[in-house]
Amino acid sequence: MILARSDPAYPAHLAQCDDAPARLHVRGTLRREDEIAVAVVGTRAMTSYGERVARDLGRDLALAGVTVVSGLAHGVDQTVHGAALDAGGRTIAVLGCGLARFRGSVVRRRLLERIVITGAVVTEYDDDVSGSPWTFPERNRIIAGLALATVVVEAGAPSGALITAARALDYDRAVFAVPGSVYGPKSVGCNRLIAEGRARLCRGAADVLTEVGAMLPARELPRLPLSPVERAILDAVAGEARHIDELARDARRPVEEVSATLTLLELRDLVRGVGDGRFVARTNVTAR
Amino acid sequence: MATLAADVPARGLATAQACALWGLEAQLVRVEVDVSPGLPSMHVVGLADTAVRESRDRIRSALRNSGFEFPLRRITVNLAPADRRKEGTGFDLAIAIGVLRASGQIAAHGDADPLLIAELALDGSLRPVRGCLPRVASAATQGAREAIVASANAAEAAAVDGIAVRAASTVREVVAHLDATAPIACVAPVVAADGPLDVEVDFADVAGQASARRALEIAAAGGHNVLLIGPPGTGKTLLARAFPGILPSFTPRERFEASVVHSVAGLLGPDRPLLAARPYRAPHHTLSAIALVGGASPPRPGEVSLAHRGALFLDELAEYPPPALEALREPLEDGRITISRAGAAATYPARAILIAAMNPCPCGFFGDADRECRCLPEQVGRYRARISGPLLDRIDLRVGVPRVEAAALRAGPAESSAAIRARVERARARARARGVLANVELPLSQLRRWSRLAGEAHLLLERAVAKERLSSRGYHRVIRVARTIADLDDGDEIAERHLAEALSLHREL
Repeated sequence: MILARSDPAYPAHLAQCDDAPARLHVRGTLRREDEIAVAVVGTRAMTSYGERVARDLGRDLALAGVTVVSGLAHGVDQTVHGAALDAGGRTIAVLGCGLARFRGSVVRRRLLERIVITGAVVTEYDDDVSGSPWTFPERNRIIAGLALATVVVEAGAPSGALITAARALDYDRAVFAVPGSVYGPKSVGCNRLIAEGRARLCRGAADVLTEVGAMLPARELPRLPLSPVERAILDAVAGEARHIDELARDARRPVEEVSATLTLLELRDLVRGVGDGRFVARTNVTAR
Repeated sequence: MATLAADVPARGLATAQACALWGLEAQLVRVEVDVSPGLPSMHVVGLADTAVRESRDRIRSALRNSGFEFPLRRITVNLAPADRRKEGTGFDLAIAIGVLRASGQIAAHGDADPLLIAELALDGSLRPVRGCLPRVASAATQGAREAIVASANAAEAAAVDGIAVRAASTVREVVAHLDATAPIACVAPVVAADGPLDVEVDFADVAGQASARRALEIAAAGGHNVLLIGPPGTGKTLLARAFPGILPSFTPRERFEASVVHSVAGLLGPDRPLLAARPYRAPHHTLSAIALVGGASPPRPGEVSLAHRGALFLDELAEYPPPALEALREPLEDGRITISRAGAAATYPARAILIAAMNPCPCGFFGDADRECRCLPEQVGRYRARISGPLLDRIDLRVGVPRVEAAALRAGPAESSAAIRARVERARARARARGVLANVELPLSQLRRWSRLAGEAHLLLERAVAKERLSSRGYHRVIRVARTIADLDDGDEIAERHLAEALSLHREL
């Protein structure tokens, strides 16, 4: 699908930008509620700290009903998209090449297909345009334009994520940066943004949500895609940690099924084991 | 001048057949006896240890008290091959018969040259020896066709196919057989059968503990090791005691292998010629590394070998001496242990299922809903660190055993051991179709071949690795457990739920 800038379905926030692309190629669906979007970007060569932050941000923003925008690159982008999808939220990937020319790893190609099902993959380039050193920085303005706020998770000294942040500032959108170690080469960019007062400090999704929260209209929050057994177990561990045996008895399910289900939920970051066979739901996922 | 009985010739040379044992390995030994004129003396050569050299005093008394002449000549005994160490008392009978032949007190033996295995008492009666079963079994494969053993060893020796076993209780009986005045009949071969299961606890008596029961079922089905962790008084020991009741019955090969180790340790007897049920060993935590894995000189099998083809229960795992626990690594990984001592190395089989139990912390109440734990966090960390990573890596199934709530105690009787055992037997039958006794023995190449993952299971595995939930070492262990879980489910392919459960049991505690 191709959206012209004059089309009413063209993303409204992006349309406000002077240099917005004339035409947008879309795979998947763009919805009204995607207006409430936050971009999360960062380095391809992330550290384990960056991965953890990206995963938590992607999940928690998605659970708050915010559409998560990123660039489907290696590292932070990929992690954020995945976390948002796992939480059952919406996510938009902006490519720096034509839709037919996406050349990612198997994992990212598979991720792209998942995004198309429950979100959208967009680009300003025609199908046969390959990615090149200048298309990716250009693409970053679309990421910044689609989102109400941009969060930089990890960025080195020169970094594409910093370009996205600069464009967001140009568009007068909020910019957040996740602080890192003062010695960390992957945190130099983020720390500088904060030091220069150009970005606000982001300690987690809550910091971003207070900024965009005022703009959130009352609407239904996403429901996690869960099977009945998964939902029953997630509800059962919402308040306090409980043992597998207890859960199996209360749910009247065989213990092997409960045990397997808990592992699947754990791999989706919805519950965590506290040792000795007990589990508790992660915060932010309760009552969904 | 010494006066000699008129019928004893001045000199003579004769041989007899015995068998030497090192570890589980036995070798036929030719006992050569030379009687020649000289000062009365008896020398044993051929790397014999103290117990073998002491045999001359037993033999002298035994022969005299049986009415034979002990020649007052120079007697030289050689145990060939002379470069291999010989230990123990099992050569007594062969040397005594050699002396009688060399001194002309038994007619020339012709074809009859039976294997002779027994210790002598001073009155001339025969005593049993350790390791009679592997000696007779090896001798049979090395070509021996007839063996004479002490009556107390008869039942275990008779379990060996392809060799005629005769039992005697005195030297006189043996001599009477050899000179054909009173032949001894063959011992009827023992028909090995499962005895009544001597299990103290049935799983029907274990309330609650669903996840621990499930883990033990998987362990029995696939031969995997289990760690039970939980506060005191929650039933960890009870669960472990019930475990032998769900182990599958012996295959003939397994029964033989396990019985051989018990024979070498001297634990078989006339009333218990072969093991009736899979061994279950529960040594106390004060034991030494050598007692656990074997050793000493001459080497003896340790508890882990005595539990071969059965289960080894270590209660209060963190209380065992660290050297003993670390010594368990090799047997847990390879299913056998090699003990090297000056002179020779002995290898014992050690394919036992380890059931380990421990408290979560020194006071025992960490994570308990009812009692408050009094331990400092670093104390808890130190306590758990007693179980080293490499040892923990070898324990595939780890379960938290919680306090059982009143609700579970009130519930009716749980599933019985017999019902669980039936499922275990079916899973083992699937493993046997792959050419192994249990999945734990599948070599990696075979594991790959037999562990086809369903599409979803494959994605799950990728995710687990990507999230660092699974190390490369843990990778194959999880697949192996998933294979067993699929077997219990009667599935050819490993499905997502099988793999997820295996991952769940592989959790760090």
